[in-house]
Amino acid sequence: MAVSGGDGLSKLSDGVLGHILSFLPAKEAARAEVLSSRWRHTFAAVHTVSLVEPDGPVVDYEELGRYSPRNYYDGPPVHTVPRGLFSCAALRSLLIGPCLLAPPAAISLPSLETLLLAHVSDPGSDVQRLISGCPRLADLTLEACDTVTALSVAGLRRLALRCCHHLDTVAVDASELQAFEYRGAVPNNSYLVAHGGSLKTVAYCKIDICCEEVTSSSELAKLNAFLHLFAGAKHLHLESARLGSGLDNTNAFATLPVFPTLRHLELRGCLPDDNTAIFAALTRLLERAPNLEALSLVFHPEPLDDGNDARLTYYKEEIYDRHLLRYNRHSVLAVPTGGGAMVPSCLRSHVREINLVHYQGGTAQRTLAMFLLRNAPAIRELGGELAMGPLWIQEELVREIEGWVMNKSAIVNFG
Amino acid sequence: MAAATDDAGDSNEMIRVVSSDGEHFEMPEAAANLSLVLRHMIEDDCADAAGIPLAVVAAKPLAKIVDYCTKHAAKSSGLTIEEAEELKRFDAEFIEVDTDMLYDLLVAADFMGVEGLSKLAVQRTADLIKGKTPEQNRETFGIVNDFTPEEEEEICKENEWAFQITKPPSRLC
Repeated sequence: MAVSGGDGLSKLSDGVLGHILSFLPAKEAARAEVLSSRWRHTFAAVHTVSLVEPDGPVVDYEELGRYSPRNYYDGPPVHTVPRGLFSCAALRSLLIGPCLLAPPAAISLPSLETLLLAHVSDPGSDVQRLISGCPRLADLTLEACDTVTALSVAGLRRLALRCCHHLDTVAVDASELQAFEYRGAVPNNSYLVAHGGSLKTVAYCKIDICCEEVTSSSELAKLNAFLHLFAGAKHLHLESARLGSGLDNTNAFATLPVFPTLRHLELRGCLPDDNTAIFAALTRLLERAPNLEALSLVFHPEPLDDGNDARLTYYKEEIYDRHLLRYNRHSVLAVPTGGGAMVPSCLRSHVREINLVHYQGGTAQRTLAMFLLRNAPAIRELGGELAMGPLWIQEELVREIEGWVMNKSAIVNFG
Repeated sequence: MAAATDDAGDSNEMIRVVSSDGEHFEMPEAAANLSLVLRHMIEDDCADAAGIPLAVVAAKPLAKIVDYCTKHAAKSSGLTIEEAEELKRFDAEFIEVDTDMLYDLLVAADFMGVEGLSKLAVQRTADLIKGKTPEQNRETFGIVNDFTPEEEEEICKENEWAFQITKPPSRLC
């Protein structure tokens, strides 16, 4: 890269400079103010600010230390968001990580469309005030904001609430809402209150019940009631500790909703070998999704023996050394007969795509895969991937899976 | 005449443009349409044999832009995975330019309304800034620090949060 003689960059318009800085982590964008007087107020032209920095940039910290009286800040994240941020007219996207908002009395974010607040420690009323101060807000994500107990939102197209465990009531003007994501314990029946239209317009719905496996019938009945709110979904994503989320419990899910418009169903969770309830759970759900076209099953790794939850360490390097396949070529694959294992009609006629992700090849998973694939004549695409493990086991599992696909011209992208 | 006329796609019509320093270029209409400004000119029947004058774009960057648009127009719809990757490789090589050319491209792409190229040049500039100290950035871009030490200290203090290093956010439960 040749070093330029002139300072062409400083001659660019505020709009272009703001655009460039929007591609940088917020701190680096703000640091640009110190470059020269031309750059002094460029931060105000930034349209995207991300104060969430999962992967910190590679910075020469020693050199950077010259600019800061307090570097190597290591305590709990309590730094305060710069006040100027709350009156950026150009700002369209604001992503704020662990920090104190301390929003000023006057908030003016007329262009803001996307807001993410994660681990924000302000009183819930301040968070609400910030949200209410964004007239064009369309996409809101709240993540682990423990101070927020009640929320009222309007005009959103997408709402995501993740691990805000003290949030009790959410009042939504749902007339525009298209996508809803929830992660947390099973919500109470009064959790979500929709005004101005029902939630049945929500096309994308993701429900992730975190923490422990839910087994009590009363909790499962609440989950059933929650699912009823999203019976109009086209894409439903249901995640919990165990694959199937206890849907086989006929008492709790006596009135499981019908999903007439559902096209894509994604289930996530563990499927250990002692679990046969998945057949009843899955068939019950599929029977109520007559127009389903794509089915994805994502098998979480089973909790490891040393007590560490494999889900948490799954992305770390060391997990790759662990052998996650549970294949026994001699086990007998027997689909449980009677009751739950009838073949749902959507599988026989509509399902075109099946994805099996992080397939570990245990007996229960193989039985389930066999049941699905051998009963899905309309399949056009089989996708997914195997868990880490020795190549020879992976090859045997792929061969077995391919053998079950009924439509031999289907595209198989599995390995 | 520095025309880039290879793989012209379906459109046979050639559009002529003239750089600020009077050099003529031509490209297929589909390529010219990638520029919002040129598209509007074509729609308004302003594209004639004399060529569309581009008052703020010099010949050097214009030649690059004609290249870019011609390549992208020829491969605009129904890309296979290989073609998409080839286009990505083309972009990566295309934007390996010195800072002077990078400024010219930033200005010209912004002026001509070539969205893809704008984004490419902006991303490239951001990548050059990323992970550097203010001093290193001044050096890379030839920016003269016109602040007094007191002024500089004041700005640093004002933006103290930007110079602090915080831990990444903890995971969800």
